[in-house]
Amino acid sequence: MRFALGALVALALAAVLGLGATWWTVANGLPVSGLTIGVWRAEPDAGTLGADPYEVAATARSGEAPLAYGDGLAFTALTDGGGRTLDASCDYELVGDLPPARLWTLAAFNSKGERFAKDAKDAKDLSLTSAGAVRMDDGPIRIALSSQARPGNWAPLEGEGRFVLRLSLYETTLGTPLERANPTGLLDVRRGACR
Amino acid sequence: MSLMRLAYLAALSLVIAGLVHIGSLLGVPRVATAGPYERLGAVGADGRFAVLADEGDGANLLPFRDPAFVTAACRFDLAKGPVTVTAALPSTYGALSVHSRYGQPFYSLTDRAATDGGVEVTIYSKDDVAAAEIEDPAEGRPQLRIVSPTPTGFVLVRLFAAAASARPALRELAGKAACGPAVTRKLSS
Repeated sequence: MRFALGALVALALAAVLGLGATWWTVANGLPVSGLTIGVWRAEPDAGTLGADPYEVAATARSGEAPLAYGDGLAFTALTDGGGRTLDASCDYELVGDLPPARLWTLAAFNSKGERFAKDAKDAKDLSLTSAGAVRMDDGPIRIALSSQARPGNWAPLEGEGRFVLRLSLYETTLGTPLERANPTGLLDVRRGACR
Repeated sequence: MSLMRLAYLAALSLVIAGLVHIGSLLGVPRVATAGPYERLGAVGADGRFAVLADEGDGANLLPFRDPAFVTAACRFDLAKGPVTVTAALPSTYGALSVHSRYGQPFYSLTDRAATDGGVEVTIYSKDDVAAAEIEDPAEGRPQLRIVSPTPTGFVLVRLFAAAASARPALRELAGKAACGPAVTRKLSS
C-alpha cells in the first residue's frame, strides 16, 4: 500500500515537473540559447532546418513564421537597458550603431505578437525603417520612441501598457557563427520621462 | 518512510519528469493548433497566393510579422505532385522563403538572386525529386529544384514597402505570385 502510494506520488510529481518544464520553455525559450546583445535577443537557428526541438515547439506555439537564416535576423527587446519592462506611458531613446545590413526595421508589438495599438482593429504599420530614418553625419543612430510626436527619428507608440520591440536586420552577417561569437553592438534602449 | 526511500522516489520522479518533458516537447508541433501553417488556412491560401492584410485585425494573422513588408502566403501540398512557385521580387528588397509544415524555413531567396526581376522555384517531395532529375529535359530556363522535408508547407513572398504610397502596387505585385502544379517542360519539336 505504501509502495503504491509512493509510486503514485512520484508519477504525479514527474508529470507536473515534466509538463511544467515543457510549458515554460516553449513559452519563454531556453534561457541559455540564442544570440543576446544587450537587451536584444534573437534565435538565429530558429530560421533553419537545424532548429532545436525547443525552437520548433516555440514556433508551433507562437505561430510566428521565422525569418530564414540568409534573409534576416529579428531581435526582440522586452526591457530597457535598466531591466525595466517597456511601457507605452514612458518615452524611450534608442541610441547606438547598427551592424552592416541592407535594411533594418523597428516595430512595436504586444506580448502576443500583435501590432501595438489600442485596439486590434486599429492595427496598422507604425514601423520605422532604414528607408525613412534620418542619419546624422558621424553620429550614432538616434530613435525616439514616444506616444507623442518627436523631432528626428520618431517611432510612434499607439497602444497602452506593456510592449515589446522588434528590430529586424535584413541581409546581415550578424547571424553567422563567426559574428555570433563576437557580436557587434546594437541599439541601447534608454528610458526617458514617464507620464 | 525512510530517508533512503524518499530520496529514491525523488530521483525516480526526476528521471520520469525528464522523459515526460522530452516526450511532450517533441509532441508540441504535432498537437499545436495555431502554428503558422494552421493560421494561414484562414485566408484561403491553398494552392494560390493570398496577400495578408496590412491593417486591422487581419494584420495580426502571423504574430511578429514585420509591418514594413507586404506579405503574400501560399500553402502547398506535394501529395498532388511538385509545386512551382513564381514571384516577382522588386529590388527595393523582396524575399521568397519556403517553410516546412512546422514553420522552419528551408529555402530562401532575395531579389539579388532574381533574373529579370523574378524567381522560379519548384518544390519536390523526397520521392519525386529523383524521378524529376532523370525525366526532365535539361533544356529550358534554368530551374531551381528544392526538396521539402515535409509533404506540406507554405511559401511566403515578402516585399519591402519603403513608404505607405508604395503599398498598393506592391500588394498587386505580391498577389500576382503563382504557386501551382509544376509545369513539365517538353523538348521543343
